[in-house]
Amino acid sequence: MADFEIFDWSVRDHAGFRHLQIRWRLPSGWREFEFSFPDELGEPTSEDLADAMLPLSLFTAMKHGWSLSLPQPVSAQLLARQPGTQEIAASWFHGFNEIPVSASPRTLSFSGGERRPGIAAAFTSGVDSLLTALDHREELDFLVFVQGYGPPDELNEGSFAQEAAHIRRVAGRLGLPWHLVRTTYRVGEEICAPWMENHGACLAALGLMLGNRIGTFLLPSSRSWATQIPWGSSHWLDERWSTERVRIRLDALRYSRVQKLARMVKLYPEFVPEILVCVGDASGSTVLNCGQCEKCLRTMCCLALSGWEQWEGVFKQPLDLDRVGKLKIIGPPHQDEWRNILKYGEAHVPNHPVVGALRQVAANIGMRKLLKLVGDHDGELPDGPELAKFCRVLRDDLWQSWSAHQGGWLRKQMLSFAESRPAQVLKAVFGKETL
Amino acid sequence: MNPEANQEEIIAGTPTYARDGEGTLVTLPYRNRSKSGVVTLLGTVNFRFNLDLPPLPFCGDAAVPLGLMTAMPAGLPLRMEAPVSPVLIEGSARFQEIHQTIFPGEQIVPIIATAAQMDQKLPASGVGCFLSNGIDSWHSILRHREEVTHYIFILGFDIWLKHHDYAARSLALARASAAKLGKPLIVVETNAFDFAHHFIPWPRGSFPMQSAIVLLLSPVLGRVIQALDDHFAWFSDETEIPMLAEALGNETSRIQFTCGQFTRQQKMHFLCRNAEWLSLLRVCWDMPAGKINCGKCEKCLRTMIGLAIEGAGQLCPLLPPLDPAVLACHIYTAKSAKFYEDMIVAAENSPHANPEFLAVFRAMVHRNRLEILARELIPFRENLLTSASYLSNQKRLRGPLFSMLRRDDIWLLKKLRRHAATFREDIQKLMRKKHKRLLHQALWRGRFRKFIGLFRHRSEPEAGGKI
Repeated sequence: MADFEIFDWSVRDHAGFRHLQIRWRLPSGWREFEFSFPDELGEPTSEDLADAMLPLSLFTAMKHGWSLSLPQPVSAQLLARQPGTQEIAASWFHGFNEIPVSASPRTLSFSGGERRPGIAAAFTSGVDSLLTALDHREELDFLVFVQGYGPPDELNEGSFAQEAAHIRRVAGRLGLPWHLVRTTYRVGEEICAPWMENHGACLAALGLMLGNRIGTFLLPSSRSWATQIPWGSSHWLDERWSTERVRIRLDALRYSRVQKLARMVKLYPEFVPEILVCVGDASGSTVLNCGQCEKCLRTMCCLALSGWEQWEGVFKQPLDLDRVGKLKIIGPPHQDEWRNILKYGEAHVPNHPVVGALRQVAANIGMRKLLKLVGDHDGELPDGPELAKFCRVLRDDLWQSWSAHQGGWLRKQMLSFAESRPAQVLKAVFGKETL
Repeated sequence: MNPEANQEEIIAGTPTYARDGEGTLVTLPYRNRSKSGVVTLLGTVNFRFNLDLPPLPFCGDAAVPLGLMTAMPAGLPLRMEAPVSPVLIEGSARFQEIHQTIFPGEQIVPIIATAAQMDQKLPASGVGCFLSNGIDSWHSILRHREEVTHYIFILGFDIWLKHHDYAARSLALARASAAKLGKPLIVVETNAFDFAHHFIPWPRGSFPMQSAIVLLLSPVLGRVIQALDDHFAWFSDETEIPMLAEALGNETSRIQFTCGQFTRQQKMHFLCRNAEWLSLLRVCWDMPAGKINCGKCEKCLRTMIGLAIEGAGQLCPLLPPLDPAVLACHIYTAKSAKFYEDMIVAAENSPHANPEFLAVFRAMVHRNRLEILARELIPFRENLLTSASYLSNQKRLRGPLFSMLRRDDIWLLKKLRRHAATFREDIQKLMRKKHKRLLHQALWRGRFRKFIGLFRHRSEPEAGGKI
C-alpha cells in the first residue's frame, strides 16, 4: 500500500458554488481541503479532477519521500511525463526525493477533439498577469483568481475585499469575465511542499480542473527564457502538467519584468495605473501598492526607466531613490533581477537618475558578497592580476574620498608611508630631501 | 511577376543526397536573394555519413535549423525550397522565441514554406546517442546503454577537420569506445563549423547542427539521446538551452535530453565507479598535437580536479597527474564557476581527497571567487565606497582590501607628487614632528654616549695612557 493516497473526493452544490472536497490519506493521518467553483464555471468532470490530483499532490509526496497512489486513471500524457517532472524537481528543490507513483493511464485517442477551444488565464492584476490578459484579450474566454493561493490572511474576507474589488474592476475594464475560485488548500499547509516550489503545480491543477470549459490555460510567467531559475512555476515544469484535454502554457516568456513594464507603458498606458504589486497591511488596514517594499520599488524603477512616473493614485509614495540605494537585496534570483533592470536602464536611458540608484544597488550587492568572501578567509588577499586591477581602481576611489574629506584611514596610510621613507616623500612633495 | 520578388531573403535549398564511397553525402545549400532579385550562394553545408542513408524526398526539414541561424541575425525571411513538416514549422516559432530572448539583437523571421506530407508516419525504432567521449557523454551512454542502438560521432564542429591528426585520433577513440560498447558508430563529417563561422554570430550552441543531423538520420533513428552539459538548476542566459533543440524535431525524430538532474561532479562520481571507461576519456577542446587531452586547459584541469576528488586521478591514462603547483595558479571564468563551487562541496565531503590537495584547491577557489567578484565590481567602483555594506564594515574591509596599498610605494609617491600642494602642510608638520623626535632621540643618544664615554673614561683611565 502506498504511503500517500488520494483517498476520495466529492462535489456538492451550495449557495451558487460547487464545492469540491478532497481527502488525502497520509501516513500521519487525514487531510481535507476544498475548492469552491462558482456555478458559471460548471461542474468539473471526474477525468479532469483525476488529472488535477497529480499536480496537487506530487510535490508533497516528493518532499516527504512518500509513495503516491491515485485511485482513478490519470491522463496517459501526464503520467508519462511525471518521471521527468520528478527528475527536475528532485534536482532543484532541497529535500525532494523521486518517488513511485501508482496510477493507471487513461488513454484517449489523441486527435485533438478532446481539447476544448476555450482559453483562460490566471489573473491577479499583477504585472505578469495583467500583461498576459492585455496581450491575449481577444482570445481569452475568462480570467480566474484563486482566493487562498495567496498569503494566509487572503481567506479573511475583510482584508481580501479591497484586493478583490480592484481585480474585479480591472477585469471589467478589460471586458473579460472574472471568476473567483476559493480554496482551503493552504490552510494547515505545513504538511505540503513549500509554496515557492508548489505554486506552479497548484495553478496547473486549477487549469486541469477547468477542462470542461477550456482547452488552454495560460500561466503568466514571472521570468523570461533567459532568466529562468529553479522555481515552482517555470517553463521546465509548468507545461509538463498538460494533458490531452488541457494544455498548460506559460505565457510571456519573451519578456523580463522590466521589458513587460516597458511594453505595457508603450502599448497599454491606460492600464499601467491598474497594476497591483503588493497588498501590504499597515496598521490593520489593507494597503495596495505601499511604494516602500522591495517589490514596489523594483516595479517603480522599471516604470521610471520606461518613462512613466505618475505615482500618485497608483503607489502610496513616490519613488524614493535614496531608499532604493539603501535596499538590501538578498538571494541570487532577486539580485539577478535588479542587475537585469540596471542592464536595461544602461542600454536604454543611461543618464536617468534611476540608473545611478540601480548602480548603487549593484555595488551594495557586490560589496556584501565581498564581505562574505573576505570574512571566510581570514582577510588575506592573494595576488592575482584581476584582483590587483580591482584594488588599484578602488584605491583611486579612496584617494578621491580622502581628497574630499581631508582625513581618514588613507591619510594615515600616506603619513605612515612618509614617515618610513622621509627622503623619498620629501623629494616628491618639496623637491628636496630635507626641509 | 512574383509579388515577393523585391524582398531580400535567405533561401534554404532542397537537400541533395549522393553516394560517397560507402557512405552518403547530404548537401544543404543556402542562398541569399537581394532586393534586386540577384541570388548568390552563401555556402553549402555538407554532412557525410558512413552509412547508406535513404533520402527523404521532398523534405526540407534538415535545412531549417541552420537556415534559421543564418536568417535570424540577418533579420531576413527564410524561404524553404522543399516542403517542411508542420510540426517543425510550429516548433520553429518556439525556437525563434527562445533564441531571440537570449540574443535580443536577432529577429524573429517568417518562414516561407509549404507543409510537407509525411510519408513515414511512425518514428524509426532506432535510438541514437551522441558520443564525444566527454564526461557528460559517457555518463548518458552508460545510463542509457540498454536502449541505445547507435552512437553518433561528429567531426567538423568541435573537432575541426583541418586538424587532421587530432580528428583521426579522436575518431579512433570513438571507434574503440563503440566497439567496446558493442554498438555501431555513425560517423558524421561536416563543414558546419566553417559555414557557421561565416554567417552565424559566435558564440552559438551546437544544437542547430545536431538537430540537422538528427533530422537527416530520421529514417534510421526515431530519437537521439543527448546529454545535458549542465545541471537543470544552472541553465540561465546560456546559449545551450535544451528547449532550443527540442523545438527542432518533427513527427519522426527528436532529440531527447537526459541527465540534467546530475551535476558534473556527480557524473564523475558515477564514472569513477565504472572506471574501465575512464581510459577512453576525451575532454579537451584545444585539439593538442600528439595527444587527446592537453592537460593544461581549463576543461582538462577541471576534469583532473574532479578525478582527484574522487581519488581516481591515476585511472585516466589520457590525462596527466594533477600538479599542485599548476592547481594553485589555475584561473577560471565566471561561466565555469558553477563547476568549481560544486566541486569544492564534493571535495570537502570526499573521503578520497587528500588534505594537501584540499588546501591548495580551497585557496585556488577562494582566489578565483575574489577575482570574479572584482571583475563584477569594477563597473560600479564609484558606488562602492558609498555602499551601505562598505560603510558599516569599513574597519573589516580595509585591511584585506588595501593590503596592497601599503606595498605600492610607487603609486603613493605618484599621488604625493601630483597633490604636493595638498600635502605640503601635513608632511611639513609630520617632518617637523619627526625632526623634533629625531633631535630628541639624538640628544638622548648624545647624552647616552657621553654617559658611556664618562663611564669608559672612568673605568679605563690608565689603559688609554692619556686624557
